[in-house]
Amino acid sequence: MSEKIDATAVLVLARAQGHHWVDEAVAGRIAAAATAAVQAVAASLPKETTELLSDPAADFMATLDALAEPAA
Amino acid sequence: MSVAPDEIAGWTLAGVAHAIATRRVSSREAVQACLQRIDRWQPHINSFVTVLAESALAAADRADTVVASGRALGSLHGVPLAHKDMYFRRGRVSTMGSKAAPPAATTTATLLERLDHAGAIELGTLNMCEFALGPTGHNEYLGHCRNPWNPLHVSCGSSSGSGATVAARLAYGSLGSDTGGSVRLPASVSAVLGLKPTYGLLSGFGMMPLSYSADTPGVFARTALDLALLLKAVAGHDARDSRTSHRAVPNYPAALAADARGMRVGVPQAFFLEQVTPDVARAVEASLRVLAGLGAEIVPVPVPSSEHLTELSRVLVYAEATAIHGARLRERAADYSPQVRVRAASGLGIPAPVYAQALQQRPGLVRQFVETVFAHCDVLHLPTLGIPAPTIAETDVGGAAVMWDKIAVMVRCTAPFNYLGLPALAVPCGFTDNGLPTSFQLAARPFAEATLLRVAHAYEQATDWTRRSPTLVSQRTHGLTR
Repeated sequence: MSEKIDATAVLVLARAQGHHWVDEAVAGRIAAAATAAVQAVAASLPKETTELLSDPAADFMATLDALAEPAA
Repeated sequence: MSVAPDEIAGWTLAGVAHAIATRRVSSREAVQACLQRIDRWQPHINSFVTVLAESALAAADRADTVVASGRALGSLHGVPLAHKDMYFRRGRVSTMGSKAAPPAATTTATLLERLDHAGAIELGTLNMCEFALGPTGHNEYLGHCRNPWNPLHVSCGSSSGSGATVAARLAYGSLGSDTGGSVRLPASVSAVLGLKPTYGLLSGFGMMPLSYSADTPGVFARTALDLALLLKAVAGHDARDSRTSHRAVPNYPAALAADARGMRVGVPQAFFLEQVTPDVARAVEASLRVLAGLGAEIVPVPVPSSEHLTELSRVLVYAEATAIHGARLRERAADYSPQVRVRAASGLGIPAPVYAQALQQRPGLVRQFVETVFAHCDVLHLPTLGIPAPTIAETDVGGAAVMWDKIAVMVRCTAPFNYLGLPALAVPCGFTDNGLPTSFQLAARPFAEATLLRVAHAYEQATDWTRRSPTLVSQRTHGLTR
């Protein structure tokens, strides 16, 4: 994926949320960082759709516990 | 016979705790020794925000009264510590490194309460990157915290004051926080140990939030035993933080009795050893040879694709940081420094489904990482910071676009473990060509802190890196002293 997040879109979203201090230059820097992050998530997405309802935060804690070093 | 203050300040945390308990020195003498060093060092490294001399001395006198009474003592009784200025104490303002700090706290952080209960004394609050947003140690509001080994260089961050303070022997240990490397990076460039525990081992109640999903309180000390004592005092479930684990807290100091023989130390075959400078690589490789000499088995291990983990971590941190900072940014954006303002607002560019997907993938990715890596080894051995500690000038980029590249280089080996929630420990292992400290990093399965500390303890028995300390003489050679 090579599409970049549009700084103008970031600017509009920022203003809509009351961040009137965000100007075009700041929006451009936010867009640059967000582009890399969004691309990384897209590249690591699993092929299958999740079919089961779950709470990612609770699942994460349970997974850490399940993967823990066995007690000595 | 009385002991010289600098000698007392040079003892380890375990050493001074024993000396106080056995009345070789008083807690007042230990506090005074640290205060005297703070007076000398603070003008050069700026690691403290507030020095609580009066209350620390009063607490020391109370601690000495308890010792004299013969009553049972806590594990840290009378020991002076100092913490990153983002742990709340009722009635006190925590600056969080920012002009935009909130008013005085109405509650006290769980970890501070636990340290109080163990008998520790709080010497003061420590410098940090503004709102913990930054890996270098820059702070335009409080002034930069400088590296005690060479004040022209960064102390790294965001727990900048914690690494510098413990390294300069101004306190025996410190709490920091680690959302992308903020404990391990300052520890690495200061020649002290820095532990980011498993997500959920330590309570974050009363700690400034940056990211609900990645924030981890962390601990600094000069030795593995000192870290073990601190960790045992603060670890465990907290009803006020639903993220904390219900697992029983191990006896970390006791785990150090075992040595490194038979431990499988894994060397990653991808990603983490790439983009490492030759001088850092030399020091990290030499530490492997030491561990091998101690009887550890060095094994190459496959590592799942880790290219995306830092960015996945970034998605969580920025989306959540922008949510946390939203109201303050709207009202007080001008009170933030330019770089921090942009970083705090970066979540404005993260679409909600992308954030949800980064959260959703986390359990599967940590399972894949642990099952792939720790099927082959007990600890993974890798660099902490793949480059020598840069100068303050080299990393003074403000809010410019190049900021993202500088940050990415610094957190390359640390941020993945925040996303994965795994414990990771920075262990000093020498110096780079510019004379600044460097370290290796050990990572392990969830809740395997005792294993990390065991390997680090064995390593430090065979080397002297943690016994070396910076001197003010070296400061003068850099022309920054009066």
